[in-house]
Amino acid sequence: MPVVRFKLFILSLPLLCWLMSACSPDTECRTANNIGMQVVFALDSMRGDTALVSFSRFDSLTVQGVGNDSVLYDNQKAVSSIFLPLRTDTNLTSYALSAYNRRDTLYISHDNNQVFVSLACGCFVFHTLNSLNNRGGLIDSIEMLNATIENYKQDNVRLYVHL
Amino acid sequence: MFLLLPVAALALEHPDSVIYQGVNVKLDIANSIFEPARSFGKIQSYEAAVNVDLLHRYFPTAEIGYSQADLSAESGSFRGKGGFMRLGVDLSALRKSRGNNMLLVGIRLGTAVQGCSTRDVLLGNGYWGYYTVNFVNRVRADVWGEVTAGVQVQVHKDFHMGWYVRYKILFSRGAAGAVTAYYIPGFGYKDDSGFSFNYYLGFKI
Repeated sequence: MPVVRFKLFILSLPLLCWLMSACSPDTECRTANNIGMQVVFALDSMRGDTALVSFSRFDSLTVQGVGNDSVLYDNQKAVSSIFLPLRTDTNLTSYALSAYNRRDTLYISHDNNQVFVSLACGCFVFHTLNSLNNRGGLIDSIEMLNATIENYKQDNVRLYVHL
Repeated sequence: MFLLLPVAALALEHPDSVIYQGVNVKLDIANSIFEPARSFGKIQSYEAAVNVDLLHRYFPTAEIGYSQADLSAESGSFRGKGGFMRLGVDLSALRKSRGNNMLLVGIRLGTAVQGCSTRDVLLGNGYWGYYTVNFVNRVRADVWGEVTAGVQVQVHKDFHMGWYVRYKILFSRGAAGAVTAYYIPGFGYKDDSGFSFNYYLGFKI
């Protein structure tokens, strides 16, 4: 009888472990999925300054995607950088910027690279910047710092602005 | 399976050999019965194993099976079905085993081929909007290795029961960004911790 009990114990051990084990992976995404172009500002007068300090004195910056009803930054105060998500369905993204009663439109040409991450996270779309142009009276010139946009934070573009 | 054929042929030529001690057939019940119950029918997996008893110490083993899975996560759904096979060998860890009571350790090389579809995969961002893409009717092959440990207990004459615990390492993880299978027949979830269990009923021929 003790032998039978021992056999039952031995046989039941893994069944308990198996039933108690968590065998399904995460169904929620735990990978950083905030992908967009990081833009920093500088005064036009600072150009060429080796100790360039980001300009952070916008008292009211408004940013809205062209073709999008939603305002991304609405009269934002003390802005030193902005984060601009790019379109994943086309290779051209445009943003309208306004501050100090000046308006500008930033045109961003980019490639989209679709990367499957997991069933929990779906596909990420990474970007490579091709060119940037503007039309308006706020931005003086544009400097591309890093053309690659992935899911980690880095400054991609510096905008020199008139005041 | 092909590795077992020459061994089985040699054994049949020499039925009185002390080397050949018989063939064990094992039917898995943990994954076949409990997995569909635990996953509410989303996963079905059936498998059986056959091994050749050599010297009552070495057991060249072939395991074959079939799985199908219909699963979903936060950003998509996966449906796949296919077959798998594991080849390897078990070693009786006890010098003198009584009857068919054994402590087994072994290794396996597993492979699976399945047809699968990954649908409604979310893509985009919160500002410009999301849309979905589908990757359908794909054939996916995967390869993995296993280290196994198990117990076999004789329950009646030639019938025995037992279990295996397996530690699995997936060799075919796929290139970064490639669409891989969420669930792999015979292996389990691609991103699983690596451990799995088998619980089986067996008989000796």
